[in-house]
Amino acid sequence: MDKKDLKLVKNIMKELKEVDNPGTVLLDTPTTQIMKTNFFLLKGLLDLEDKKGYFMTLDRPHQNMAYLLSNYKINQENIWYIDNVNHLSGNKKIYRNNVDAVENAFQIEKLTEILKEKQGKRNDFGNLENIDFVLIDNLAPMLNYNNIENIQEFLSSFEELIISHDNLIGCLVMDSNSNKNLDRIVRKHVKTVIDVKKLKEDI
Amino acid sequence: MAKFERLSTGIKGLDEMVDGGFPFPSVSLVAGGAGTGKTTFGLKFLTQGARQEEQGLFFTTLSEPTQWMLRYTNQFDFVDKDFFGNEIKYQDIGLLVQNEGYEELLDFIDDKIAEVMPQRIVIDPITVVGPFFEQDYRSFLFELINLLKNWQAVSVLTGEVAPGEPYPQEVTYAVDSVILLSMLEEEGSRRKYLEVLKMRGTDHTTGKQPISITTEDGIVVLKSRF
Repeated sequence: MDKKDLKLVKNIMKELKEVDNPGTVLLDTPTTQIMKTNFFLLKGLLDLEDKKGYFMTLDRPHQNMAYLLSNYKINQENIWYIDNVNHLSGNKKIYRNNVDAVENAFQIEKLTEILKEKQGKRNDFGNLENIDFVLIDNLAPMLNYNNIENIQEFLSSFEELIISHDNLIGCLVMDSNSNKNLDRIVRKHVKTVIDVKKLKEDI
Repeated sequence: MAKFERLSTGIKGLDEMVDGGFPFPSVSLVAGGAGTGKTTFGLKFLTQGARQEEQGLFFTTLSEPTQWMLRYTNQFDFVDKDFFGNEIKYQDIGLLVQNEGYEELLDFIDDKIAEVMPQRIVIDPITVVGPFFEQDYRSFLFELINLLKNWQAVSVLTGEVAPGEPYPQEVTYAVDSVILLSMLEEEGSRRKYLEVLKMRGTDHTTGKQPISITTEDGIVVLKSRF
Protein backbone atom coordinates (compact mmCIF):
# COMPACT_ATOMS: atom_id res chain seq x y z
CA MET A 1 0.00 0.00 0.00
CA ASP A 2 1.65 3.22 -1.17
CA LYS A 3 0.85 6.90 -0.51
CA LYS A 4 -1.62 7.05 -3.38
CA ASP A 5 -3.49 4.03 -2.02
CA LEU A 6 -3.66 5.60 1.43
CA LYS A 7 -4.93 8.85 -0.07
CA LEU A 8 -7.62 6.88 -1.88
CA VAL A 9 -8.61 5.16 1.39
CA LYS A 10 -8.93 8.58 3.08
CA ASN A 11 -10.95 9.97 0.18
CA ILE A 12 -13.33 6.99 0.30
CA MET A 13 -13.76 7.54 4.05
CA LYS A 14 -14.47 11.24 3.41
CA GLU A 15 -17.16 10.34 0.88
CA LEU A 16 -18.69 7.76 3.24
CA LYS A 17 -18.95 10.35 6.02
CA GLU A 18 -21.12 12.45 3.73
CA VAL A 19 -23.69 9.64 3.44
CA ASP A 20 -26.61 10.24 5.80
CA ASN A 21 -26.70 7.41 8.28
CA PRO A 22 -28.41 5.08 8.37
CA GLY A 23 -28.09 4.39 4.67
CA THR A 24 -26.83 2.22 1.88
CA VAL A 25 -24.09 3.14 -0.54
CA LEU A 26 -22.79 1.63 -3.78
CA LEU A 27 -19.05 1.76 -4.38
CA ASP A 28 -18.73 1.45 -8.14
CA THR A 29 -15.32 0.04 -9.06
CA PRO A 30 -13.86 -1.94 -11.98
CA THR A 31 -14.13 -5.73 -11.58
CA THR A 32 -10.35 -6.09 -11.49
CA GLN A 33 -10.21 -3.74 -8.49
CA ILE A 34 -13.02 -5.18 -6.35
CA MET A 35 -10.80 -7.04 -3.92
CA LYS A 36 -8.60 -3.94 -3.52
CA THR A 37 -11.62 -1.71 -3.00
CA ASN A 38 -12.99 -4.08 -0.34
CA PHE A 39 -9.58 -4.04 1.31
CA PHE A 40 -9.30 -0.24 1.16
CA LEU A 41 -12.76 0.08 2.68
CA LEU A 42 -11.85 -2.25 5.53
CA LYS A 43 -8.52 -0.50 6.03
CA GLY A 44 -10.39 2.80 6.37
CA LEU A 45 -13.28 1.57 8.48
CA LEU A 46 -11.36 -0.73 10.85
CA ASP A 47 -7.98 0.93 11.01
CA LEU A 48 -8.49 4.65 10.42
CA GLU A 49 -12.03 5.10 11.75
CA ASP A 50 -12.06 2.40 14.43
CA LYS A 51 -15.45 1.10 13.25
CA LYS A 52 -16.99 -2.29 13.80
CA GLY A 53 -18.84 -4.35 11.22
CA TYR A 54 -19.76 -7.39 9.20
CA PHE A 55 -18.20 -8.43 5.90
CA MET A 56 -20.40 -10.71 3.80
CA THR A 57 -18.33 -12.51 1.19
CA LEU A 58 -20.09 -13.47 -2.04
CA ASP A 59 -17.27 -13.75 -4.55
CA ARG A 60 -14.05 -14.81 -2.79
CA PRO A 61 -13.86 -16.80 0.45
CA HIS A 62 -13.17 -14.81 3.62
CA GLN A 63 -9.67 -16.31 4.02
CA ASN A 64 -8.30 -14.06 1.30
CA MET A 65 -9.42 -10.86 3.00
CA ALA A 66 -8.43 -12.13 6.45
CA TYR A 67 -5.01 -12.91 5.02
CA LEU A 68 -4.70 -9.48 3.43
CA LEU A 69 -5.72 -7.69 6.62
CA SER A 70 -3.29 -9.69 8.74
CA ASN A 71 -0.54 -9.11 6.19
CA TYR A 72 -1.07 -5.37 6.60
CA LYS A 73 -1.35 -5.75 10.38
CA ILE A 74 -4.91 -4.50 10.52
CA ASN A 75 -6.62 -5.55 13.72
CA GLN A 76 -9.49 -7.96 13.04
CA GLU A 77 -11.17 -7.80 16.44
CA ASN A 78 -13.83 -5.53 15.00
CA ILE A 79 -14.75 -7.50 11.91
CA TRP A 80 -17.00 -10.54 11.64
CA TYR A 81 -17.09 -12.52 8.39
CA ILE A 82 -20.23 -14.06 6.99
CA ASP A 83 -18.80 -16.31 4.31
CA ASN A 84 -21.26 -17.53 1.68
CA VAL A 85 -18.81 -19.06 -0.74
CA ASN A 86 -16.19 -20.92 1.23
CA HIS A 87 -17.98 -24.19 0.61
CA LEU A 88 -17.70 -23.54 -3.14
CA SER A 89 -14.07 -22.45 -3.10
CA GLY A 90 -12.20 -25.67 -2.31
CA ASN A 91 -10.34 -23.67 0.32
CA LYS A 92 -8.83 -25.87 2.99
CA LYS A 93 -7.53 -23.20 5.35
CA ILE A 94 -8.81 -23.32 8.89
CA TYR A 95 -11.58 -20.93 9.87
CA ARG A 96 -10.81 -18.02 12.08
CA ASN A 97 -12.98 -17.69 15.16
CA ASN A 98 -14.77 -14.63 13.76
CA VAL A 99 -16.57 -16.33 10.89
CA ASP A 100 -20.03 -17.66 10.18
CA ALA A 101 -19.66 -20.08 7.30
CA VAL A 102 -23.06 -20.24 5.66
CA GLU A 103 -24.14 -22.01 2.51
CA ASN A 104 -26.50 -19.47 1.06
CA ALA A 105 -24.93 -18.74 -2.29
CA PHE A 106 -27.96 -20.26 -4.02
CA GLN A 107 -30.47 -18.50 -1.79
CA ILE A 108 -29.33 -14.92 -1.61
CA GLU A 109 -32.76 -13.73 -0.47
CA LYS A 110 -32.07 -15.44 2.86
CA LEU A 111 -28.91 -13.46 3.59
CA THR A 112 -30.74 -10.68 5.39
CA GLU A 113 -32.20 -13.27 7.77
CA ILE A 114 -28.67 -14.12 8.86
CA LEU A 115 -28.04 -10.48 9.69
CA LYS A 116 -31.39 -10.20 11.45
CA GLU A 117 -30.38 -13.08 13.70
CA LYS A 118 -27.63 -10.81 14.94
CA GLN A 119 -29.99 -8.16 16.23
CA GLY A 120 -31.10 -8.14 19.81
CA LYS A 121 -29.20 -11.33 20.35
CA ARG A 122 -26.25 -11.71 22.64
CA ASN A 123 -23.25 -12.95 20.83
CA ASP A 124 -19.50 -12.62 21.18
CA PHE A 125 -19.22 -9.93 18.54
CA GLY A 126 -22.20 -7.70 19.22
CA ASN A 127 -25.67 -7.27 17.82
CA LEU A 128 -26.65 -4.92 15.04
CA GLU A 129 -27.33 -2.05 17.47
CA ASN A 130 -23.60 -1.87 18.21
CA ILE A 131 -22.39 -2.27 14.66
CA ASP A 132 -21.26 0.55 12.37
CA PHE A 133 -21.21 -1.11 8.95
CA VAL A 134 -22.15 -4.09 6.84
CA LEU A 135 -19.99 -4.56 3.76
CA ILE A 136 -21.34 -6.74 0.97
CA ASP A 137 -18.83 -8.19 -1.47
CA ASN A 138 -19.35 -8.16 -5.25
CA LEU A 139 -23.01 -9.00 -5.95
CA ALA A 140 -22.53 -9.80 -9.64
CA PRO A 141 -21.33 -13.43 -9.21
CA MET A 142 -24.57 -14.15 -7.36
CA LEU A 143 -26.25 -14.00 -10.78
CA ASN A 144 -24.58 -17.32 -11.46
CA TYR A 145 -26.64 -18.96 -8.71
CA ASN A 146 -29.74 -16.80 -8.32
CA ASN A 147 -32.27 -15.10 -10.52
CA ILE A 148 -32.52 -11.34 -10.58
CA GLU A 149 -35.81 -11.36 -8.62
CA ASN A 150 -34.13 -13.08 -5.67
CA ILE A 151 -31.32 -10.55 -5.72
CA GLN A 152 -33.86 -7.75 -5.81
CA GLU A 153 -35.67 -9.31 -2.84
CA PHE A 154 -32.38 -9.43 -0.95
CA LEU A 155 -31.58 -5.80 -1.76
CA SER A 156 -35.01 -4.62 -0.56
CA SER A 157 -34.75 -6.45 2.75
CA PHE A 158 -31.10 -5.40 3.19
CA GLU A 159 -31.93 -1.72 2.66
CA GLU A 160 -34.87 -2.01 5.05
CA LEU A 161 -32.66 -3.60 7.70
CA ILE A 162 -29.95 -0.97 7.38
CA ILE A 163 -32.25 2.01 7.63
CA SER A 164 -34.00 0.55 10.67
CA HIS A 165 -30.80 0.87 12.70
CA ASP A 166 -29.37 4.24 13.68
CA ASN A 167 -25.87 4.97 12.45
CA LEU A 168 -25.59 1.79 10.44
CA ILE A 169 -24.17 1.99 6.95
CA GLY A 170 -24.53 -0.69 4.28
CA CYS A 171 -21.80 -0.76 1.62
CA LEU A 172 -22.16 -2.62 -1.68
CA VAL A 173 -19.08 -2.97 -3.88
CA MET A 174 -19.69 -3.72 -7.54
CA ASP A 175 -18.70 -2.93 -11.11
CA SER A 176 -21.65 -1.14 -12.72
CA ASN A 177 -20.56 -2.55 -16.10
CA SER A 178 -20.72 -6.19 -15.03
CA ASN A 179 -24.50 -6.38 -15.52
CA LYS A 180 -26.56 -3.36 -16.47
CA ASN A 181 -29.84 -4.80 -15.18
CA LEU A 182 -28.31 -5.58 -11.79
CA ASP A 183 -26.72 -2.15 -11.65
CA ARG A 184 -30.09 -0.50 -12.33
CA ILE A 185 -31.70 -2.49 -9.51
CA VAL A 186 -28.86 -1.84 -7.05
CA ARG A 187 -29.06 1.89 -7.69
CA LYS A 188 -32.75 1.84 -6.66
CA HIS A 189 -31.71 0.57 -3.24
CA VAL A 190 -28.81 2.88 -2.40
CA LYS A 191 -28.75 6.48 -1.22
CA THR A 192 -25.39 7.33 -2.70
CA VAL A 193 -23.03 6.07 -5.39
CA ILE A 194 -19.28 6.55 -4.93
CA ASP A 195 -17.28 6.29 -8.16
CA VAL A 196 -14.02 4.74 -6.88
CA LYS A 197 -12.33 4.86 -10.30
CA LYS A 198 -12.98 8.60 -10.48
CA LEU A 199 -11.70 9.12 -6.93
CA LYS A 200 -8.52 7.29 -7.93
CA GLU A 201 -8.09 9.35 -11.08
CA ASP A 202 -8.48 12.57 -9.09
CA ILE A 203 -5.50 11.78 -6.85
CA MET B 1 -25.60 -13.97 -15.96
CA ALA B 2 -22.84 -11.51 -15.14
CA LYS B 3 -20.60 -11.14 -18.17
CA PHE B 4 -16.99 -12.26 -17.90
CA GLU B 5 -14.59 -9.41 -17.43
CA ARG B 6 -11.61 -10.11 -19.70
CA LEU B 7 -8.04 -8.90 -19.55
CA SER B 8 -6.21 -8.30 -22.80
CA THR B 9 -3.43 -10.82 -23.34
CA GLY B 10 -1.24 -8.13 -24.90
CA ILE B 11 -0.42 -10.53 -27.77
CA LYS B 12 -1.36 -8.96 -31.12
CA GLY B 13 -4.07 -11.07 -32.74
CA LEU B 14 -4.70 -13.35 -29.73
CA ASP B 15 -7.46 -11.30 -28.07
CA GLU B 16 -9.51 -11.62 -31.25
CA MET B 17 -9.15 -15.41 -31.03
CA VAL B 18 -10.44 -15.62 -27.45
CA ASP B 19 -13.41 -13.25 -27.16
CA GLY B 20 -11.26 -10.32 -26.04
CA GLY B 21 -8.80 -11.82 -23.57
CA PHE B 22 -8.34 -14.06 -20.55
CA PRO B 23 -11.41 -14.34 -18.27
CA PHE B 24 -10.93 -12.49 -14.98
CA PRO B 25 -10.14 -14.20 -12.65
CA SER B 26 -8.67 -17.38 -14.17
CA VAL B 27 -5.55 -19.54 -14.36
CA SER B 28 -3.98 -20.37 -17.72
CA LEU B 29 -1.15 -22.56 -18.89
CA VAL B 30 1.09 -21.41 -21.73
CA ALA B 31 3.07 -24.48 -22.75
CA GLY B 32 5.74 -25.12 -25.33
CA GLY B 33 9.22 -26.43 -26.01
CA ALA B 34 12.45 -24.47 -25.71
CA GLY B 35 12.52 -21.24 -27.70
CA THR B 36 8.81 -21.11 -28.49
CA GLY B 37 8.24 -17.83 -26.59
CA LYS B 38 6.77 -18.79 -23.22
CA THR B 39 8.65 -16.20 -21.17
CA THR B 40 8.07 -13.58 -23.85
CA PHE B 41 4.35 -14.37 -23.64
CA GLY B 42 4.43 -13.84 -19.87
CA LEU B 43 6.31 -10.56 -20.19
CA LYS B 44 3.98 -9.23 -22.87
CA PHE B 45 0.99 -10.15 -20.71
CA LEU B 46 2.42 -8.26 -17.72
CA THR B 47 3.54 -5.19 -19.67
CA GLN B 48 0.08 -4.95 -21.25
CA GLY B 49 -1.34 -4.84 -17.71
CA ALA B 50 1.24 -2.31 -16.57
CA ARG B 51 0.15 0.03 -19.37
CA GLN B 52 -3.43 -0.30 -18.11
CA GLU B 53 -2.43 0.45 -14.48
CA GLU B 54 -2.88 -3.16 -13.46
CA GLN B 55 -0.38 -4.51 -10.98
CA GLY B 56 1.72 -7.47 -12.13
CA LEU B 57 3.72 -10.06 -10.22
CA PHE B 58 6.32 -12.25 -11.95
CA PHE B 59 7.57 -15.36 -10.13
CA THR B 60 10.56 -17.11 -11.62
CA THR B 61 11.37 -20.65 -10.52
CA LEU B 62 14.80 -20.55 -12.14
CA SER B 63 16.86 -18.82 -9.40
CA GLU B 64 17.53 -16.07 -11.88
CA PRO B 65 18.79 -12.76 -10.47
CA THR B 66 16.67 -9.70 -11.30
CA GLN B 67 19.54 -8.08 -13.19
CA TRP B 68 19.77 -11.10 -15.49
CA MET B 69 16.08 -10.91 -16.14
CA LEU B 70 16.32 -7.18 -16.88
CA ARG B 71 19.22 -7.75 -19.22
CA TYR B 72 17.13 -10.18 -21.19
CA THR B 73 13.97 -8.10 -21.20
CA ASN B 74 15.84 -4.95 -22.27
CA GLN B 75 16.18 -6.52 -25.71
CA PHE B 76 12.45 -6.01 -26.20
CA ASP B 77 11.15 -2.64 -27.33
CA PHE B 78 7.75 -3.30 -25.76
CA VAL B 79 9.21 -3.51 -22.25
CA ASP B 80 9.53 -0.27 -20.31
CA LYS B 81 12.18 -1.07 -17.71
CA ASP B 82 10.63 1.44 -15.30
CA PHE B 83 7.79 -1.06 -14.92
CA PHE B 84 10.10 -3.43 -13.00
CA GLY B 85 9.89 -2.85 -9.28
CA ASN B 86 6.75 -0.76 -9.77
CA GLU B 87 3.89 -2.03 -11.95
CA ILE B 88 5.68 -5.37 -12.32
CA LYS B 89 7.18 -6.92 -9.20
CA TYR B 90 9.75 -9.64 -9.80
CA GLN B 91 10.20 -12.50 -7.34
CA ASP B 92 12.70 -15.33 -7.53
CA ILE B 93 11.34 -18.49 -5.87
CA GLY B 94 14.01 -20.83 -7.25
CA LEU B 95 15.75 -21.39 -3.92
CA LEU B 96 12.46 -22.08 -2.17
CA VAL B 97 11.61 -24.66 -4.82
CA GLN B 98 14.95 -26.37 -4.25
CA ASN B 99 15.14 -26.17 -0.46
CA GLU B 100 11.64 -26.05 1.02
CA GLY B 101 8.56 -28.25 1.06
CA TYR B 102 5.60 -27.46 -1.13
CA GLU B 103 3.52 -26.09 1.73
CA GLU B 104 6.21 -23.52 2.59
CA LEU B 105 6.37 -22.54 -1.07
CA LEU B 106 2.59 -22.09 -1.24
CA ASP B 107 2.65 -19.96 1.93
CA PHE B 108 5.36 -17.79 0.42
CA ILE B 109 3.41 -17.32 -2.83
CA ASP B 110 0.26 -16.53 -0.83
CA ASP B 111 2.15 -13.94 1.26
CA LYS B 112 3.66 -12.32 -1.80
CA ILE B 113 0.30 -12.05 -3.56
CA ALA B 114 -1.24 -10.54 -0.43
CA GLU B 115 1.60 -8.01 -0.26
CA VAL B 116 1.51 -6.97 -3.93
CA MET B 117 -2.25 -7.42 -4.62
CA PRO B 118 -1.69 -8.04 -8.35
CA GLN B 119 -4.31 -8.28 -11.06
CA ARG B 120 -1.85 -10.26 -13.23
CA ILE B 121 0.46 -13.06 -12.08
CA VAL B 122 3.02 -15.07 -14.06
CA ILE B 123 4.86 -18.15 -12.76
CA ASP B 124 7.68 -19.03 -15.17
CA PRO B 125 8.10 -21.98 -15.59
CA ILE B 126 5.90 -24.06 -13.30
CA THR B 127 7.12 -27.41 -14.66
CA VAL B 128 10.56 -26.92 -13.05
CA VAL B 129 8.88 -27.61 -9.71
CA GLY B 130 7.82 -31.18 -10.59
CA PRO B 131 11.09 -33.06 -10.03
CA PHE B 132 11.64 -31.35 -6.65
CA PHE B 133 8.28 -32.30 -5.20
CA GLU B 134 7.94 -35.69 -6.93
CA GLN B 135 4.92 -37.44 -5.37
CA ASP B 136 3.64 -34.15 -3.91
CA TYR B 137 3.65 -32.41 -7.30
CA ARG B 138 -0.03 -33.03 -8.04
CA SER B 139 -1.07 -31.90 -4.56
CA PHE B 140 1.11 -28.82 -4.96
CA LEU B 141 -0.44 -27.99 -8.35
CA PHE B 142 -3.97 -28.52 -7.10
CA GLU B 143 -3.42 -26.25 -4.10
CA LEU B 144 -1.49 -23.65 -6.09
CA ILE B 145 -4.17 -23.36 -8.75
CA ASN B 146 -6.87 -23.18 -6.11
CA LEU B 147 -4.92 -20.50 -4.28
CA LEU B 148 -4.49 -18.49 -7.48
CA LYS B 149 -8.17 -18.81 -8.38
CA ASN B 150 -9.21 -17.55 -4.98
CA TRP B 151 -7.25 -14.32 -5.43
CA GLN B 152 -8.71 -11.75 -7.81
CA ALA B 153 -6.19 -12.10 -10.60
CA VAL B 154 -5.49 -13.61 -13.99
CA SER B 155 -2.58 -16.01 -13.63
CA VAL B 156 -0.43 -17.40 -16.42
CA LEU B 157 1.72 -20.44 -15.69
CA THR B 158 4.29 -21.34 -18.30
CA GLY B 159 5.22 -24.97 -18.83
CA GLU B 160 8.02 -26.72 -20.60
CA VAL B 161 6.87 -29.46 -22.98
CA ALA B 162 9.14 -32.50 -23.07
CA PRO B 163 9.94 -34.00 -26.50
CA GLY B 164 7.14 -36.33 -27.59
CA GLU B 165 4.73 -34.96 -24.99
CA PRO B 166 1.73 -32.93 -26.31
CA TYR B 167 1.55 -30.73 -23.18
CA PRO B 168 2.32 -30.99 -19.43
CA GLN B 169 -0.66 -33.12 -18.48
CA GLU B 170 -0.44 -32.69 -14.69
CA VAL B 171 -1.01 -28.94 -15.09
CA THR B 172 -3.49 -29.05 -17.95
CA TYR B 173 -6.25 -30.81 -16.07
CA ALA B 174 -6.51 -28.12 -13.42
CA VAL B 175 -6.25 -24.84 -15.33
CA ASP B 176 -8.99 -22.86 -17.08
CA SER B 177 -7.10 -22.29 -20.32
CA VAL B 178 -4.31 -23.95 -22.25
CA ILE B 179 -2.33 -22.21 -24.98
CA LEU B 180 0.25 -24.25 -26.83
CA LEU B 181 3.31 -22.71 -28.48
CA SER B 182 5.14 -24.93 -30.91
CA MET B 183 7.94 -24.93 -33.44
CA LEU B 184 7.69 -27.15 -36.52
CA GLU B 185 10.22 -27.84 -39.20
CA GLU B 186 8.72 -27.08 -42.59
CA GLU B 187 10.53 -26.88 -45.89
CA GLY B 188 13.89 -26.66 -44.20
CA SER B 189 13.00 -23.90 -41.74
CA ARG B 190 11.45 -23.79 -38.29
CA ARG B 191 8.09 -22.06 -38.02
CA LYS B 192 6.37 -21.07 -34.82
CA TYR B 193 2.70 -21.59 -33.98
CA LEU B 194 0.19 -20.73 -31.28
CA GLU B 195 -2.88 -22.83 -30.57
CA VAL B 196 -5.67 -22.26 -28.06
CA LEU B 197 -6.34 -25.77 -26.84
CA LYS B 198 -8.99 -24.83 -24.31
CA MET B 199 -10.41 -21.71 -22.68
CA ARG B 200 -13.37 -22.25 -20.40
CA GLY B 201 -16.42 -20.09 -21.05
CA THR B 202 -14.90 -18.82 -24.29
CA ASP B 203 -15.83 -19.30 -27.91
CA HIS B 204 -12.23 -19.49 -29.13
CA THR B 205 -10.54 -20.06 -32.46
CA THR B 206 -9.13 -23.55 -32.88
CA GLY B 207 -6.15 -24.80 -34.85
CA LYS B 208 -2.50 -23.76 -35.04
CA GLN B 209 -1.98 -20.12 -35.93
CA PRO B 210 1.42 -19.01 -37.29
CA ILE B 211 3.24 -16.50 -35.06
CA SER B 212 6.43 -14.52 -35.14
CA ILE B 213 8.52 -13.27 -32.24
CA THR B 214 10.04 -9.86 -32.70
CA THR B 215 11.94 -7.49 -30.40
CA GLU B 216 9.45 -4.77 -31.27
CA ASP B 217 6.19 -6.51 -30.36
CA GLY B 218 7.12 -9.82 -28.73
CA ILE B 219 4.73 -12.48 -29.98
CA VAL B 220 2.46 -11.57 -32.90
CA VAL B 221 -0.22 -13.82 -34.42
CA LEU B 222 0.57 -13.35 -38.09
CA LYS B 223 -3.08 -13.37 -39.18
CA SER B 224 -3.51 -10.06 -37.32
CA ARG B 225 -1.19 -8.39 -39.80
CA PHE B 226 -3.47 -8.97 -42.77
